[in-house]
Amino acid sequence: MNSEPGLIRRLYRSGALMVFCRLAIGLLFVYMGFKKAMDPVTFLKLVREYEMFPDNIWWLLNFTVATLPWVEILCGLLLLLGIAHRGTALLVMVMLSVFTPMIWLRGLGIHDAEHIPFCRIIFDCGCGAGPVNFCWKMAENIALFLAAALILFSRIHRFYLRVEFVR
Amino acid sequence: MQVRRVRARCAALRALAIRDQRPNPVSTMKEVTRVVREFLLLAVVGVSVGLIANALNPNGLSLRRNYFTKPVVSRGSARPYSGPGTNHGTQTGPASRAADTQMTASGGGGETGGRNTAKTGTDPSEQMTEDEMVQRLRDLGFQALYHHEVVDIFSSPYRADGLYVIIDARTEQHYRSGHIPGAYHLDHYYLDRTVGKVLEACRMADKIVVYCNGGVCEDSELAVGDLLERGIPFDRLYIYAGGFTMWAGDGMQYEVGERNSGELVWDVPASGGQASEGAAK
Repeated sequence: MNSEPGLIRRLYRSGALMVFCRLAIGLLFVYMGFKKAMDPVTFLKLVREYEMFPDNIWWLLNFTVATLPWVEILCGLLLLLGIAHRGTALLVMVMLSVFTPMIWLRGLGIHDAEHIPFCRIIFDCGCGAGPVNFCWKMAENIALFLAAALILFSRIHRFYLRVEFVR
Repeated sequence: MQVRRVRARCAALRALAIRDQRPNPVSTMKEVTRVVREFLLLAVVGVSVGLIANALNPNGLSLRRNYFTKPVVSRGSARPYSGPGTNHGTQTGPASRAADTQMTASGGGGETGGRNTAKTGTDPSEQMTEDEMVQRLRDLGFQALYHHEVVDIFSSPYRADGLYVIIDARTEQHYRSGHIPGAYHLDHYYLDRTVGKVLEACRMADKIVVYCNGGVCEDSELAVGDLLERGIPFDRLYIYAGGFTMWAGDGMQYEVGERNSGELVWDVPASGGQASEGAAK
């Protein structure tokens, strides 16, 4: 009987899979966050299109747009460095679980209005990468969510600067 | 006998190891609490960092300003364009009289019907005809212009005299990458940077054309609101409905970089639907 663990399991046990997940989320969040932070007006207009907040609480829109990119950058940096990775992974999951349904609803709106097949919808979701394919964006967000969940629930702690932020 | 003892010891050690790996409810609860506290702390730190960074960022947003306050315009006040120089019923200045004469001679642009039914906009939700764009603005109470009317204004000698002013209300990045030649830049989101020069020009002008990308873009409407707030009369303010998308799409020259940089380029629509670029100094 062959008791050799599979490649994925070996990668997981060695910590390489976690490092890959951290690098993927970290680099993406830092890049996207910086792009949004450097052009807050474009981000403001794009977030407004989601109609998250009523017009009379415009200050909440400004507040969200001003702070969200920096929260993303912070999460990205912490994951890259391996500091407070579990709390950061949870924060990433919470953000993704808010953004992804919103992007889905937006895509659904375009699909209903323009009768364009889902995987041919290209629009700027305000994610920082400019116009993107709707299906790719959804797949990317789900993959990021799963990677963050893996970081959150994993018991393998390797290549981290400091595992815990709060004791 | 010896082998059996070793095997029994191994089994006991394995059982011990398995028992150690089992999640202990108390430690799991502690771990969950710790992660949630870490999450909350990070959220607070992230928001605080965001507020500080936004305050230090020269392009940061003002948290106290509603950027999307639409100007209050009377719906009855919007009227169809009647050609350059003939828009002010009460205007008696030499400039307007001269403009009247000029446009009567050229028979200029009194029609408001839909000449251009070309679709514009890159977003599928923004596919509109020029008629629809003009109508949308007029429904909102603005004075809207068709493309050919803006071309008339652009070609008029009164533009060079400062009696007709064209204003680009898009972002600085868009303005620098191409604007209608001689257009001023008014950025609604960073008003203090651009409004000074624009107001100076607007006070001298009889007719002010504001544009953004066209379609459903709001920047021109917001810029009109900024000018109204600063005392520019409503009847001088027009919005170019097709915006820069229609201007460049029609093969019109546009200027790159600063205002009056002299660097003019134009997109030449090719037969295959792709645009090539020409340049002139």
